[in-house]
This record gives sequence, structure tokens and C-alpha cells, in this order.
Amino acid sequence: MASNKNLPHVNQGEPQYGKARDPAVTSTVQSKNPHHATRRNGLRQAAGYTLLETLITLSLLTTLAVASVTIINSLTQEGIESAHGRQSRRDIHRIANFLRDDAARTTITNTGTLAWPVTLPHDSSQTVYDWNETDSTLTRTETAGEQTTQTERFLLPKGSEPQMNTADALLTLQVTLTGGNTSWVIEGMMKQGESEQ
Amino acid sequence: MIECVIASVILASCSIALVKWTQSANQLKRQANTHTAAVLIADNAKQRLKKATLANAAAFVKDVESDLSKPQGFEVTISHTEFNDQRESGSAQRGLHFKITVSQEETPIAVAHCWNLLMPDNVPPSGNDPAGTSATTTEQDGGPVDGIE
Repeated sequence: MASNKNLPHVNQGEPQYGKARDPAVTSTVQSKNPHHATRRNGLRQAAGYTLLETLITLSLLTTLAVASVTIINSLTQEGIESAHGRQSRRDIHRIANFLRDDAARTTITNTGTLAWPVTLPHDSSQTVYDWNETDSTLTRTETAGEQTTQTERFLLPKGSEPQMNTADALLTLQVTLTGGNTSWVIEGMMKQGESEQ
Repeated sequence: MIECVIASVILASCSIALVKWTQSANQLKRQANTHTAAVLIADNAKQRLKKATLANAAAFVKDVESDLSKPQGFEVTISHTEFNDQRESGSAQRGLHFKITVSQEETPIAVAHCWNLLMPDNVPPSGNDPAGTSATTTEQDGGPVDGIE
């Protein structure tokens, strides 16, 4: 045992597992992998990422998140507009049926462009068409006396400009779509009575 | 560095897919709107042709064609034939058959048919329809018409 006093605390040639490490000795041990624990100046450094790596990762994640939200928003908006367009294309055919029926019951009273709301008088009732630009809807209300007998609401494409006019015994509803390249035109033959002008 | 490249590729792919999706949706929307406009024009032609009679059919058809061909760059072509169906009971069913074709840039978009039926003794019925009763049908996709609406 006496000879052991002259021996160094740590045998530098062999690792001393399970024993306390001398900082003075272990300060020269460095890992080649920067992600692994390293020891410098006697202090142990925990495994992890550098600040730069963390910042880059966070910025990438942020960019991906923003892009994802933008793309999902665009797709959602596209879906909403597509559904709106489908509904308006269905509704324009319903409007056509109602308008032609109403026109056949309406005697010509004046010609030219009609201002909203448009009232079409019949023998014992009347139909009022009104355009609401805010929600792009055309409302048809049929009344007999003071009583409302039927109300229908039709969706038209956003940004469209419906216009109703009469000429040559024809009641025409023209819906000019956004861009002005395409118009939907509905014609109804009006009843020709004695009050025709 | 590799993470940046992968993220950029993903973003670029998503952006390109979104742009293509939007373009396709807009193209489909335009086609659907054009088709709707063509069908409505064909319906308008049917409404006008209710007034056609055997005597004025040719001139009337030309007027309707020229009136409806004006807007939106559609070309309306109407062909008409007179039919005379002799029934077993001895009564004859006479009338006019119209075929309305709405095309754009020489491509048919909507085809519709309508018939103006005259009374057996060639006397128009009372009411606003001088040509007699009328029946219509529409070819939505260019196929042959089998029935009457």
C-alpha cells in the first residue's frame, strides 16, 4: 500500500470507469463530435444544439407554418367561391323559370331599364324582384293583396350586375359577370294587353 | 443547410400546386359560366320561336338568329323542318321542329330542340301562342334527344 502513495491518482493510459474524474486530467479529453458532450476548462457541456441552429430551425418552422396557413386559406377561399358559383349557376335557371312565368302574366306597361326593386303587376297579384348587392342575392316576392304568398331568394355571382329591362314585349334580365366577358341573359315573353305602350 | 433546401423544395412544390389548382378552378368556372350563358341563350331562342308559324318560319328563324347572336360572341344557328304526322284516326299532326345550336368559335356548346305543334285542322288554339302548343327539350352535352320535356 505504501508504494501506491507515489502513484498518480489517475492512470492516464487507461480509462477509470466508475471513479471520480480529475478536472485537471480530463480537460484534455475532447470529443470529435460537436453534438456530444465536451469538456473544456474543467466544465462539462451538455449535449444539444447551438443557438444558430435553433434560430434557423425556428425560422424554417415559422416560414412553413405561415406558408401552410396561406395555402389552406387560399384553398378554403377557392372552395367557398366554387360553391358560390355552383349555387348561382343553379339559381339562374330557377330565376329563368320564375321570370318567364311572371313575364307571361305581366302586361307591358313601360319600356326601358327598370330600377330595383322591379314590380311586375299581374291580374290579381304582383311580383317584386329586388337586388341586394351586399350579399349578391335577388329576391322574388309575390303578393296577393296585402298577403305575401311566395318569397324566393336566388344567389348570383359575386360582383355581378343584374339589370332588368323591357323592350318589344320582352322582359329581359341580364346578369353581367365579373370581368364583363360573359353575361347571362334571360328573356320572358310578356303578355300583350290593351295597355301596351 | 440540407434542411433549408428541403424546406424550400416543399414550399415551392406547394406554391406551384396551389397556382395550378387555382388556374384550373378558374378555367372550369369560366367554362361553366359560358355553358350556362349558352343554355340560357338556347332557352331564349325557344321562347321566341313560340311565335313562329308555318308561314313565317324561315324569316322568323333568321331574325331570332341575328338577334341572339349579337352578344357575347356566341353564334346561334337554328334549323327548322316541317312535319306532318298522319295518325291512324285520320287526323294529321302538323307542326315545326326547331333545332337550336349555340356555339362559340365553331364549337357547339348547347343544343336544344323545340316543337311548335299546330292543331289538326290548322287552327291555332286560343291564347298567346299563335303557333299552337309547343314542346321543348335541351341537349346538355351534345347527345341526341330522346324525349320531350
